Amino acid sequence: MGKYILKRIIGLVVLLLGITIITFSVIHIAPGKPTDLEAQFNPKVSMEARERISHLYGLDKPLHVQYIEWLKRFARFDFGTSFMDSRPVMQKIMERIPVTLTIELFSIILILLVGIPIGVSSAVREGDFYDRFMTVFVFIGFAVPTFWLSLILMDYIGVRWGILPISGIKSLEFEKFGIFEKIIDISKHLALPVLVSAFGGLAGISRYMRSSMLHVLKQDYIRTARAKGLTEKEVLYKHALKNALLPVVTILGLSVPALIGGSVIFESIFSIPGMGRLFYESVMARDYPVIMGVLVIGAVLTLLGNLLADISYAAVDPRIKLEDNL
Amino acid sequence: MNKLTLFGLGIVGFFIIIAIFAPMIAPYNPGQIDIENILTAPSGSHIFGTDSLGRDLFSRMVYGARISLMVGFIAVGIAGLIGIALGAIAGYYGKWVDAVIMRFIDIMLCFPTFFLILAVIALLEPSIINIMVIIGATSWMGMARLIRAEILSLKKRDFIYAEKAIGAGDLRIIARHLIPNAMAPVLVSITLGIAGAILVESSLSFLGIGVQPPTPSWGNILSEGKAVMGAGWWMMLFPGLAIFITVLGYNLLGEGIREKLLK
Amino acid sequence: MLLQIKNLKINYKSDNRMVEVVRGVDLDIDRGECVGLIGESGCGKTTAGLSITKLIPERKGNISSGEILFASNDILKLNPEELRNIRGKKISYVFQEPFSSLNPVFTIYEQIRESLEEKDNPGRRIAEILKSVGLEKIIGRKNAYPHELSGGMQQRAMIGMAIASRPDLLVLDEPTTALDVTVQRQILDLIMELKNKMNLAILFISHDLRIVFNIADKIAIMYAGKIIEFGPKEKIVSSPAHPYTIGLIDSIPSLEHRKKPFNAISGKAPLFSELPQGCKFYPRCRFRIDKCTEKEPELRDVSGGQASRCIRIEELKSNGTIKNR
Repeated sequence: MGKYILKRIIGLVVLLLGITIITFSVIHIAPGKPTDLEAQFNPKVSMEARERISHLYGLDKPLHVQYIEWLKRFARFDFGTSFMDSRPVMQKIMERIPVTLTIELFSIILILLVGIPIGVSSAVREGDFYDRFMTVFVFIGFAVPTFWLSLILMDYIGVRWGILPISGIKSLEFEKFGIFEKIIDISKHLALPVLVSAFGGLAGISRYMRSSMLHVLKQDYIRTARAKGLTEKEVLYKHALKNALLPVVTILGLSVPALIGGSVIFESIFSIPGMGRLFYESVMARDYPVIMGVLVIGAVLTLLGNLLADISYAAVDPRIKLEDNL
Repeated sequence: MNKLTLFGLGIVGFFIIIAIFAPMIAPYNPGQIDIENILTAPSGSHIFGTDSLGRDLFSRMVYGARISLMVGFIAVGIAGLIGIALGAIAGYYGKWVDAVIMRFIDIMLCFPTFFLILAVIALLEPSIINIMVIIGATSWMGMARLIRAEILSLKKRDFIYAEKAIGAGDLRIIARHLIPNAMAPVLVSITLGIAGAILVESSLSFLGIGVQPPTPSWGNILSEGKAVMGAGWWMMLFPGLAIFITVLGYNLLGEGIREKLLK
Repeated sequence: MLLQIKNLKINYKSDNRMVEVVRGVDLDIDRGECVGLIGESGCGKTTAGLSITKLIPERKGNISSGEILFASNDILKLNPEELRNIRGKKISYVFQEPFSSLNPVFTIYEQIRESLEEKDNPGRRIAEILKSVGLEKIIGRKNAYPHELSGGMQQRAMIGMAIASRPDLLVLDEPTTALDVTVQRQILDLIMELKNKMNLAILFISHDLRIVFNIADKIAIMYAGKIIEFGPKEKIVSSPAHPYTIGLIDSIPSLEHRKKPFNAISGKAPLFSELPQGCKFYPRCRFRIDKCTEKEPELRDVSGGQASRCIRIEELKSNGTIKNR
């Protein structure tokens, strides 16, 4: 196991360097200097700020020198300060990350709790009415635009019926609540964002789970399990399910970037102070240091997600441990 | 062909016809402001109602179809060109060329695509051309992997050896034999990619950093709809439905092609 | 008689249409007896074997008629619960590919434990079973997974699972086909040893006559969904009574027969959807006459316990066209 993780970490460093190179290139894609653009789009930026960013990126030096210096700062998580309020970018990002990760975590739990049973039950009942109904449902899930779904839920559940709050993560009188009320209040605020964030992934996982399960059910060892006289429950939910679940771990890791990317949409719709909204606000304000910082952190989070998925896969699949022992 | 695929094909065809014949189908000029008729509900004269400037929603939707489909097609075209070229080069030449391209793809896949797109848009202007290029440039990785995998398996087949034996050049072999033979999965990927690009474009336009008003797009109409939420349900219903149905159509068609070609 | 299969007919789905792939099979197996079921791939032998405990998936095929009497109970009339008490308990299976037949994510211990008839103190019983199938190496290694074993050892583990509940009947479907020749021999020896020790009835399904000659007491030859010859091994070896059997024996490359011309059966096995009229072997038969196409011959006794579906066999033997060997 140790060797496996070490190998993964070396690959990770290579990817990390690649991420910094691409992020660095993105800054230089723009025609002209970021400082010019900055002034052009955001009149709030003073001459002083322009000099600051010019210095931050060392724009007067050759490209590779600029990159190395930027990389050095990156290694210390120093992305400079925001144009908007002059606070350190890293600090701004760090205070936003917990909200976003909480929502993603709950979405993933929801995706797994609902998506896996849907996929498994569809596979077990392949071709019958339930399966076909679920297939149509999944296709609808793939096609519904998240922002439209958010608006509809907001309009009905929030505005018309007044069941759930539609904005922010806590009520105005939050500070006056007891601990129990606080938890209820936050849960109510997060319910719609979590639901919306999970919606697309739900379709994906249940579709994936269905085909994974169908594939496993055709395997010889399922026939062996039946030939042993095991009950249909044991055959399906012990022998088949464990095999079918293995690849889902990987898929979950791969879906992290889509989940993080999606945070921009629902966080700005539901006014949630998370990383996605921070990113949206900085894009609207052309706040480059923050944009670059979030871009890198988003990619790093994806990397961590993939690493976590790979390690979990190695932990649950006995065949991978062997390779490591040899 | 099964019913769902046919349904998908019908939707796709329907919206393509609307986009092509937009000037003939739209009853009003989509930019024509009518202060007397602001936010009127659907009626005989305005079947989808009017927006907050009194413009005919149906006409704006019809022209919006043009924008959405154009962005979808061209963005996927760009993604296809990049993906096919890089995938073919990686698969055909192998060795370090392959290693470098594959690493590049891994790195690109680390970025939440939507973040990358927003970052680039922040640097450039949100014009339609820029949006198409950016979506294309950030969504070619799957296509490249597909082409590479297909070419790796095709490369070992006899007819490629035969071509080499008669002295055909690399470019000829790649362009004339390998790419056409690898087209089936790419076709699926292109169809599903159009759905994805339409979703991304409408998300961007909805957030106000995509297609800019007054040019109508389904996404920016929906964004206006959000502003008048509660006062004009038709502003939220119709553009959302249009995006949903179009994306559903391409997805169904893509799945249908997958089942037909790849089994 | 432990197992009696009577007039078994099975439909199977192939290319979206149902075809009858087992077209009336009769077969008896007694305790301590090994019956070899021989045929080319796709002749229906595996389907027949699986049907003994109704293991054919419902959406793939169904048993349309017949009886399968196991210890005088008709298996086809049992409810799922009763069926499970027979599967793996009284009748066990060993399949062709040990690697894919073992579940990759459960330990050997766990997979054998599932087959035990008494669940308490499984460790000791599993050790006993491992010992009896020659897997002493695994004893005590409770977290050994299938992929850590060689093919031969995997098949030993499969056999261990099969005998774990002390069954009466073992159905072996090409148990050695996927293994190396030297390992094949060891597995056959193990099967013989267990058969004698446990007084097992065995149905040994194979395409390979040589292997079956080594192990079976009686042999049934299957062709196009029916048994075309049946008899004690000695009789089948010394005086086969069907041109198809003769063809099969002649195609065995062996030292003694090296001087003879290699005499494989010409042509291909017919598709179930396009079976010929009359004798199904007619198109490939060296001794065919027009009369063979009139109607499908019955299985009839030709010499004390040996039965054949060939209408010409006595004639061919008496005029010396077919010689005993």
